[in-house]
Amino acid sequence: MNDLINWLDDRTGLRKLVHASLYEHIPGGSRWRYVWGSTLAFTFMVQLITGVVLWSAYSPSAQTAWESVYYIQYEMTGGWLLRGIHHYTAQAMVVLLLLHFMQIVIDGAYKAPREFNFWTGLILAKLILALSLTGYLLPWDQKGYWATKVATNLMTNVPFIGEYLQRTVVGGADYGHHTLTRFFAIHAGVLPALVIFFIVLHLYLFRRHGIHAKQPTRRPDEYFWPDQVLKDAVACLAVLAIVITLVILHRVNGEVGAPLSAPADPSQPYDAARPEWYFLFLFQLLKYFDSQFVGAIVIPGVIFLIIALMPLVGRWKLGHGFNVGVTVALAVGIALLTAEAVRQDAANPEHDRAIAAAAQDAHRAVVLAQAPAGIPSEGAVALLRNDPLTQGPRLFAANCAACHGWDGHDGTGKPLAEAPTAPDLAGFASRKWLTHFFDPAQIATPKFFGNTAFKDGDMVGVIRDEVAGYDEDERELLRAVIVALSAEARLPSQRELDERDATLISHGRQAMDELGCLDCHVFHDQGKARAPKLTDYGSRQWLIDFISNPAHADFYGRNNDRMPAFGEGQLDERSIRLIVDWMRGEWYEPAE
Amino acid sequence: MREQVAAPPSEPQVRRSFMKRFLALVIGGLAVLAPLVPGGAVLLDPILRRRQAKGATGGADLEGFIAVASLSALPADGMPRRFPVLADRVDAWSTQPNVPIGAVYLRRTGEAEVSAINVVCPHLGCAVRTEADGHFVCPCHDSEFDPTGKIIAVTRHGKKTVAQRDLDTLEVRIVGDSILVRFQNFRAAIREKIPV
Repeated sequence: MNDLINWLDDRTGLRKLVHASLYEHIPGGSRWRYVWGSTLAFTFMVQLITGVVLWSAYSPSAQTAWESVYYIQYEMTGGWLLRGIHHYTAQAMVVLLLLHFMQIVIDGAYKAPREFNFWTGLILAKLILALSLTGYLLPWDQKGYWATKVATNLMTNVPFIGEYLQRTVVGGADYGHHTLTRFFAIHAGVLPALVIFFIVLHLYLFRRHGIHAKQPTRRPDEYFWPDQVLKDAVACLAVLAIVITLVILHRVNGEVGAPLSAPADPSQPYDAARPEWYFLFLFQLLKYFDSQFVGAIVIPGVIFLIIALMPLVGRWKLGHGFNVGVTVALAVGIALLTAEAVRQDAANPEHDRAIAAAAQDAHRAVVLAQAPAGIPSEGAVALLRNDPLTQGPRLFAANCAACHGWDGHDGTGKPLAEAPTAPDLAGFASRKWLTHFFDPAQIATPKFFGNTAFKDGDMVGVIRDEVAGYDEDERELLRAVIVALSAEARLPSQRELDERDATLISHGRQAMDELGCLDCHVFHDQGKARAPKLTDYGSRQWLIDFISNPAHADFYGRNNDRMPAFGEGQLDERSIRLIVDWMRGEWYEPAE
Repeated sequence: MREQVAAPPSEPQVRRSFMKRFLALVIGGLAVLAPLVPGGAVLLDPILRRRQAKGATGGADLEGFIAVASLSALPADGMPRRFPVLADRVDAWSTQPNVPIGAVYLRRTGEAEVSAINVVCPHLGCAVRTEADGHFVCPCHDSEFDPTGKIIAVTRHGKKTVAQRDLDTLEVRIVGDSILVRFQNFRAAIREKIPV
């Protein structure tokens, strides 16, 4: 063994290298306050390891980025843990940077001759923040997409070159494949290389000047090994333990590990867009300035300049005090701005709703990606775009909720802007909905025809005058008619009921004539076409045809109230299908 | 006051504390090795994960048979003809319905009898082509096989065929007019025919 080490040492100078790195003088002995630099080096190493492995499974393009991250997170062995560690270690680094900075400033370790230590440290801090910013976009999820758009749009405020700078970084006029390939090259290539270069420089300068001991020293001098190494190791392990605890315990939308919101969709604005928490103070700062140039460039620039000048200011008698004051003021300012940003969001019910909607989309995207049909070649964004459960409420809110309610709201859960002027459609054509419809006490309320032209029409008249006076036998017939009519819709939620009640249904079909339905309605080649046809009433095709043109002779004809023919230019076929499927409760649900 | 660049500190006390050295190594080692665990798991995912249930056989029937061609389209001249095999392909995260997952040579051996051969050479995985006489020749290492897929020991160029086994035949089933093939790939470079 010794021979081998001698042989190696002869050729490489290994002993001297190990000795030089371990037997560094520490005046006054090891201290816990010196651990921050080591924890930063350690966390950077963690990011290199986890980052390279993530790289091996990541595919940067607009059709594969979210998909490959989804695959890492939900399918690959240990992928959630790997990605979680990378995600939370990135955040830990920001905290550690702040602690390292404060220790350096408070202990006066930035002063001559260590100016270059300090400046290389500042460059490293900027590079780490740039890594966070570029990494945020890579999953190509709604959160990263919209938050990063803000950041790259701010670039246009840089004087003279802003526009060109933005185009170069984004890889074109708009976000796309090249935005990802560029961000990935910056995130995984350019920035880590620069960080390594500056860490080497930073460490070289650190070793050149030695550690700046906190004065006064109270204990005898020690070497770096083993006392300080032990303290550093404990600190690193503690950081890792905190990171892993966060990965496992900090659930976002109930999901373990790093969050992944829905696939980026330029056509679907993301109201919950916020930068990572450590950039929230900048986000909040922007709100106070009319000019983004001042808020995003001038003020942070001036603050950075003041920090960079600390070693020079520190030469004066009161300089150190000033620098410590600036540091404390900045820390307090950042804390206050962050707290205010959080408070404003917490007090804003719109933001809560946006967060809830985002969580729902995120969850749904994963459910659909795991469905047997899988993710199509055009990417996971198509899953949500073609999903009735996701699009139905939005389309309903945008196109139907001006007149119709959905269980009292607009489909998405928002209260209606105005009182409904047409029937509430939640549960349309279900047994329950029809039972309420035929209730003399409910038919003329705003829930049904109360605010429509049919308020004084024949149907309301029949229900109020005749149905109200039904005897027990007739009520029994009506119940059968309701069941039979509801069966026409073939609602997925009533499939079992309809199968069970086959006899009652055929009974109800015959009872339609008895109760006079066919005097006005057509039902399977019988009856008169004076009111909407009841054949296939509430079925998928019936609803599509109705929404496309309610004034068609099959439906209200000339008696149509105010409902537009949506199929004639207002909505495309696909949108109408999505609304109908959502109304009928027809969407993919995973088997339990 | 300016600090000195190389202020010589007092010679440190070298305390030979075994416990401290041991703990420093163990704790430091733990911290450094920890991220390698999930990293290794993800890198070894292809070995660790349970096999993809669907793989490349989606679109096939329960026993894995896929319709490849119609019987009437295959001439009865005993010459092999190449057909693509279409099935749903699950490639990591993406699912592509009905795309080529491989190709086979079909050869009519009777009224309603067909033999199928995977186009992949069992030597090192190149795709073989057919010559005018119906022989298969591998373009990579010149292995030669007769129209039934049997190895020809000495090739037309006078060299020894390097492939270690015959071309891989596949199970065929005729249903009505359609030819169904149980499509499989087999491990290359070995003498035995073992499905991948």
